Amino acid sequence: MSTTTARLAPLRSRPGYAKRELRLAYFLILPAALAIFLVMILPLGFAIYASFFQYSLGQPMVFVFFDNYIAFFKDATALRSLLNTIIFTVLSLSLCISIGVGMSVLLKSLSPRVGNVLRAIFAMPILISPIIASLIWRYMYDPTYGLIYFVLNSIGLHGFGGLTASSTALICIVITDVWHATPFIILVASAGLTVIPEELYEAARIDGAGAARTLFNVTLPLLTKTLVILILIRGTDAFRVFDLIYGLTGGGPANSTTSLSIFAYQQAYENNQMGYGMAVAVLTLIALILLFGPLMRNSARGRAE
Amino acid sequence: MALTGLTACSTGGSTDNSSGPPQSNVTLTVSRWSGPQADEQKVLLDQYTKETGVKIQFDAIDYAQLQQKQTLNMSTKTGGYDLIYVPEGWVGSYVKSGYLTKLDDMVKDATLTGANWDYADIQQSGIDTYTVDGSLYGLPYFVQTPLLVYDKDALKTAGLAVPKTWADILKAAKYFKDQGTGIALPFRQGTAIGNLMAVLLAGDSTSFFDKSGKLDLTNSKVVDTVQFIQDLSKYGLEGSNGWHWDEVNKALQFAQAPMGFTTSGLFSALEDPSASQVAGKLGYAPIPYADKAAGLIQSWSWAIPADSKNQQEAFKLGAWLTSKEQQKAMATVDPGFISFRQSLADDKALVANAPWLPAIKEALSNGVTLPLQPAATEFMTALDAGLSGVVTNGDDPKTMLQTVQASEGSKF
Repeated sequence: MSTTTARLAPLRSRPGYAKRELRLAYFLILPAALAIFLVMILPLGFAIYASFFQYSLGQPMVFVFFDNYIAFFKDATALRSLLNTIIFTVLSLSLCISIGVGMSVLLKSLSPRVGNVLRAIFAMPILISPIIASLIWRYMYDPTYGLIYFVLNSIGLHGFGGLTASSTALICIVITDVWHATPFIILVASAGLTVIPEELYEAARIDGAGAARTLFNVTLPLLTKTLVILILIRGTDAFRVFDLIYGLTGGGPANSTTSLSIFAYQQAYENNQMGYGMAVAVLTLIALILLFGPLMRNSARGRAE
Repeated sequence: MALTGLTACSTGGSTDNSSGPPQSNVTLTVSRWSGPQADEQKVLLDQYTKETGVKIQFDAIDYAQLQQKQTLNMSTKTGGYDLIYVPEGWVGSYVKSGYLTKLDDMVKDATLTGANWDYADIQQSGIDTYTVDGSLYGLPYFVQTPLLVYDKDALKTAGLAVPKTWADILKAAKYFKDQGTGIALPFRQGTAIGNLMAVLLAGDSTSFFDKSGKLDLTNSKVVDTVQFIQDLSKYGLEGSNGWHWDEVNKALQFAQAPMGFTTSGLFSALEDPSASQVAGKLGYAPIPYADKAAGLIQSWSWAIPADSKNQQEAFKLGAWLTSKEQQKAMATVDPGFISFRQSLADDKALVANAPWLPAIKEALSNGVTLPLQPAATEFMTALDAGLSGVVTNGDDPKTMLQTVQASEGSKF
């Protein structure tokens, strides 16, 4: 190693070496940069560009400046979809994180063999695609054939609106999402728990700390970085929810489950208002940056430190 | 099995091939969606190649990308497609953009259509659907419409006649609701509930628009229609406010609903003895009406792009596909395939496998399309959501219609 370094040292001091090295570096990152430009920057740029036009397939594009954005804030259905998205994200995220972390702490307290078997069983919903999960739950929620109504009716609880009532449809979708997404939290949080030194738990036990105090004073503080990553991933996922809602309710009844993504899809592909659809997509991106940007920046800063 | 039958049924073709396989230098590119009947159609197109020597490139793609791809091809004017499969909703914008060829002269030319093509046999409502500004742009090919489907034994046991009017259907639905079931309704927020409303309006001799073409949702007939929808929803099978056509069909298929509104594209499953518990026991009737029977034209046609380099050959193929022989061949292998040809609705062999044909003929004699104006989809999306509120939340029909009128009225 040191011989190689000694041989390279004179090379670096030669004139033009640094320039050549820089050129090589640029050359090597060019394919990746090109790929990012083509698959990320270009479509995003087109979406922003198209959002300033009245744009329908087969029709000429008409520049309307900010009209599509203004229309969004004047459109009651659009605002409803924004509210639905926020409610869905808050409920789903908080339930997923609390249940997922709680389950992973519980699994850690079991013997490794039992814990691993249960973890594998709990992880199964991850293997199911969201659209299939939505179809499974659509039948679970069916008042005629569904398991949920069968259970509720058998214990004497009648009149549950399920997916067919505006007051309960969004909650039903949150439950499906929690079922589908919590296993991911369990797996990641379980991995996070393995790096907490056992000595700390031992010290807490010696100090007489109970389970709750150990959880709040030892486990959660040392799991913070993992939790931040989980909130980022799950939060952004929940905010962009599409397939679950599309499969379960299509946004109904009476727009009570229309999310921003569903609304953007409806505008772009059902109403052929591509420009308006793009504006909604751009607004979704801006909302995501506002909501999760600070967390992302702190997370990046934490990693750098 | 079905595809083999299709080849066997296939007749026609005007080329004399007694001296060996016919030869042709023409290659036609055909665009359609990869949905129902695509496989059967591929078999037909192969048959056409055998009969005429014309080679066919069959570009069947997903519905979601079809319009985009057709538009892209026709807007670049490269002659990428020779024959395209087009629903009524796209024809207006294609014509406005100058993408399609007028077919008026071609349909009169027997050298292109063949001697027995019989243009007059095609249902007038189909011709009207594909006529824009007085010119024909598509050969009507396939149609579907919703009907009332009922269990004949259940109605007989209940002592009820086949419901024809709104009062009849409310009475029958209430009877079955009281018995613990009800009528299966496709009242999920989406296209089905809006489609039904269009049929109900036509059955009440009205529409979404006034005579000058302005949106007119607050007239008393429209309000009455939505009120009827709300009344009927009270007798719906539990949960059917969250159903689309396919779920209604399943409830009928597994004898969970004694009656329901479903669409003709799904009827085959109801009469398939291996898949249905009620095969042979169902009756079919137009959607009950206030004034006269009506149907909804949801259809596809064959159209020729203006930039096609083989327009006459493309038309010959379109005429061949819409000929009685080929339409009967399609309907034989897939009883859910409904032709615009009136003579086939009375064909005894077809009716034996597709008992819904007489009811469809009756409904389509007063067939209407959904609104086709450029802003129509936005309007229908808003209306579907409003109707969903009426049937699930008990929203007031008149208030809902006023709200939709206020938000969408200026677009027409």
